Amino acid sequence: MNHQVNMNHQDWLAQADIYALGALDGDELIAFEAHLAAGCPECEQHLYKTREALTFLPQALEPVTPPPTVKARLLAQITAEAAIQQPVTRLPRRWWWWIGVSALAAAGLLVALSFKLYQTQQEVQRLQRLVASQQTTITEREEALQAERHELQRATEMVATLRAELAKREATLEAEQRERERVERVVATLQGELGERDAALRLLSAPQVNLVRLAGLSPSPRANAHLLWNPAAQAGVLLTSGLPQVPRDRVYELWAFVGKEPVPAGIFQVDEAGHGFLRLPPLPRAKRYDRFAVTSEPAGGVPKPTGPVHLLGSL
Amino acid sequence: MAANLLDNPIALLQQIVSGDGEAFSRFYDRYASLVFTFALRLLGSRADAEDLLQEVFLRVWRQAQSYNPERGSPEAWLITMTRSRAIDRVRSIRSRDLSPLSPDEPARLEGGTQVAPPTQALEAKLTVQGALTKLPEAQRTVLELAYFDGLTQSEIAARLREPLGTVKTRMRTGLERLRGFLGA
Repeated sequence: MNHQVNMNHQDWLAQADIYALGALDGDELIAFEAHLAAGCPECEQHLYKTREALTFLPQALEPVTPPPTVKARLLAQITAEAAIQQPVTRLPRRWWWWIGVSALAAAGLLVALSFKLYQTQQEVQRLQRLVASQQTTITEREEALQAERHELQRATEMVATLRAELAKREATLEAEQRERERVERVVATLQGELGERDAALRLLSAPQVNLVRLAGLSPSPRANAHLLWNPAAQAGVLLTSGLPQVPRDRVYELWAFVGKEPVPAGIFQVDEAGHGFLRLPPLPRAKRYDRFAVTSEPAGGVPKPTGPVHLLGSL
Repeated sequence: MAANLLDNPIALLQQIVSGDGEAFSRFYDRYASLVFTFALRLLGSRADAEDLLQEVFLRVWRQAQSYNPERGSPEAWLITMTRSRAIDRVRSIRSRDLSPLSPDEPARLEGGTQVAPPTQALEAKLTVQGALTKLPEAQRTVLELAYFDGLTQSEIAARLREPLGTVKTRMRTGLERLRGFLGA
């Protein structure tokens, strides 16, 4: 104990009073605990004495007797602990006491357990009612959920049906559009052909029209053709049959001869049946064309014949 | 003399240390009412007081060897333990932070002279009750607010609207009187 502490020790003892009461707080508490921790037998003795004096406060209270069940519980507990912990040699000396205590403890326990059992039964019944009510609620919710699921399934099926119907109608519409386009193309083709035939018919119905027969030569001996030729109009129409089809890169070309001079008079192809049709383009005027021939030539035609002669005829 | 010896609380505690259930039963009979009364005053609830009574005596059974006669009487040991356990309970259920209370045993307790236990409990009680009634109301109030209600000096000063110094003085004077009741 140093000089500083000695000088102030009455103050420390005063703090010890309040510390013993449990009422010291803040920095004073920290300082006093540090003082104690540093070791001060005088303060420690003062604390013991003060605590002793403080026992008068509870002793002065009007005494209340605790219920006997507390002692019964305690004895039951320490009996159980003693049975586990105490050495066997102690038992013979105290057997009578333990039996008495055990019986008392058992009786107390029985009372306590009976009450506990009753409480537990009450609690179980309460919980059972709670569970039952919860189950009812759950069942109701499940039913509602089931109904909603059915409704949802029905709606989903309806949507699927409508989608399928829509897809079918779209497919039908598309097919109809394709068919219409095809028909339009056919109509256009037929209109074109009809125009050609009209022109041919007009040409054919003119009084000065000549009919020129063209005979098949060695490449196509079985082929033949008719040329309707209007010398006044310098126009005409060629109809062929029996000509073989030529590859894609070749065409048939008609030639009109002025003496031995060939003039190109249009190109054409034949269909699978060997039929060909050509409306002659306008030819140079003021010439007398008296012979006609058909050769096979490169695609697009040529100004002078180069290929073999398939058909030949004269006026 | 044999009966006196059997009823000597320090002797009973020594027997409890060696696992004597009968001694424990006697010790309980002697102090259960004191501990229960105090617990009831501290906690205010019979059920809590019963629990605390059981807890304190279980500690007696299990930790009787921690009792040191040099540090005080068995009553002081029990009372200090009861108060400490009660304050722990109150703290655990109350959001209000109580001031730290003195621990069961201060750190580093060594040596020291034996504290004289109260002589003749009944006589002491009668004396104390008589003396306490003579204790000025102001002193008695601060002691009770601290000891029974767990308030610190600052909290008491705030509650009573008194200066801290006044509260301290009243506490010390009251304790001085209580110490005067101890057997010389």
